Amino acid sequence: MTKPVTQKSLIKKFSGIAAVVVLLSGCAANPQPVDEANDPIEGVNRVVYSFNELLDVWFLRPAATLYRAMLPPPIQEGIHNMLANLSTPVILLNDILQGETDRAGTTVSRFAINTTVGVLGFGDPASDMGYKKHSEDFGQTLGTWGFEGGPYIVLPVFGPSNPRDVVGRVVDYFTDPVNMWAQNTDRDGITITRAVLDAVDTRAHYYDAIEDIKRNSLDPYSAMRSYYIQRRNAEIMNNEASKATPAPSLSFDFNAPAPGDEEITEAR
Amino acid sequence: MLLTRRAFSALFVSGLIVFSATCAMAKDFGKEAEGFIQTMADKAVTSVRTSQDEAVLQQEFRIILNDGFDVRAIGKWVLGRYWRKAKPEEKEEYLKLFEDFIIATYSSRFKDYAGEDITLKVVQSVTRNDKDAIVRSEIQRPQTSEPILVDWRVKQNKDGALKVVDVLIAGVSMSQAQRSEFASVIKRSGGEVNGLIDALRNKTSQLVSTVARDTQ
Repeated sequence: MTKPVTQKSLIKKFSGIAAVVVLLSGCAANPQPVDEANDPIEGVNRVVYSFNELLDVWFLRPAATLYRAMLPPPIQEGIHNMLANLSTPVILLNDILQGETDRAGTTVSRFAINTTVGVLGFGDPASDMGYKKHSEDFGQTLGTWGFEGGPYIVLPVFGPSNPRDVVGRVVDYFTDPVNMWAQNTDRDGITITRAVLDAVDTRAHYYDAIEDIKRNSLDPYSAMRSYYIQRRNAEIMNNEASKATPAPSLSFDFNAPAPGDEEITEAR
Repeated sequence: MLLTRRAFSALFVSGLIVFSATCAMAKDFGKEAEGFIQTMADKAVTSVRTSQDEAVLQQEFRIILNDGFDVRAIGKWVLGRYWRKAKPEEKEEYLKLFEDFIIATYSSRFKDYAGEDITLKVVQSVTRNDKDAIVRSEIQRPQTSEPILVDWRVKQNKDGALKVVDVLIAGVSMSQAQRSEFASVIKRSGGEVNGLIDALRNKTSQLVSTVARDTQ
């Protein structure tokens, strides 16, 4: 499939990345008290957050607004499905790396059905046949392997992240067949177009939720931070839509702090 | 020897009975919690679907919230370690503002759904014991194919009534998010609970006036 040289350098990349992750997350193994987010560079993060906000107000939000105004919802949904279908190879790889054979099977079926019957991923007939969509990426794989996220980082342009998920993003990029093909054939335009479309589609897809957080929060920065950290943990636990099989799929961490625990009775 | 063995097996059997009885009770509580959530959700969905008037929706929302949620417990927990530091009058003021804030934010949230044919379906539940359960539900909006996963943490209080103490949207605990946000606001105003109280008051009145403007 690929030249042996590429594979060798890929292994090299992997081991380098693994070393970085071990270094970065080794110091973050202690559980944090609930109120204190693991955010040692909050000052810098807030500056980057404000910068990203400007980018959003000037470019991304207008683009998403235009996108929503111009395209009828079914077309938007179709493009969303198509982009999701393009990332199924990365999902499959991470299903396998996590030893999730059932989910790997679902991913293969989804890709086969949606690429053919769904016309290059534009439709999602696989969902109606019981092969529900799920997310997977290398950051989640590292999470299931026991790596903690580490300190919270706000990346310019890309937004909320942490060392583990930065590594995950890089690995996802290099393990994506479309990116590989574009790179090997000098078609950078494809990668860029896809990235821009991805950004606009994501912003448009979550338009209401994002506006909602900004409008209703006393401090959008810390709300976003909490949502990101919690959402990633939920994804790592595979806390997703119930499968077609009747097996209990609800994974819930009852030990996570919640209102009505001892702490409250103590405070009464 | 024989006696001890008999005593042991008697103990084992009774232990088993007690254990399975507790399991059965916990399972019953799960079913009870599922019914409780479905009933409450049906009421809320009907309000959202039928009402066009923001003020009426807010009023109905307040009733549903106070019936179904342990707002005080949530409010206290969300304030975290600052609850103990707050003065008695600050506590009262905070709890009152917290309720108004929750109603203002969530009715502004549900404004987007107004008149829409949304449905909530309870899917399953897991129980920790006979007083604590998680109920999973799916909210379906007409124009989107993927349902939103909403988990409800339901506990039985001292009076035997069921109350929601947390809502998790796609695995994200709203109480936890609110708590870390409030902690951040207090920290940034020099560790003063009063800073949060002011911020809550401003935000709530701002949200209410936007609602008033939008409905005119």
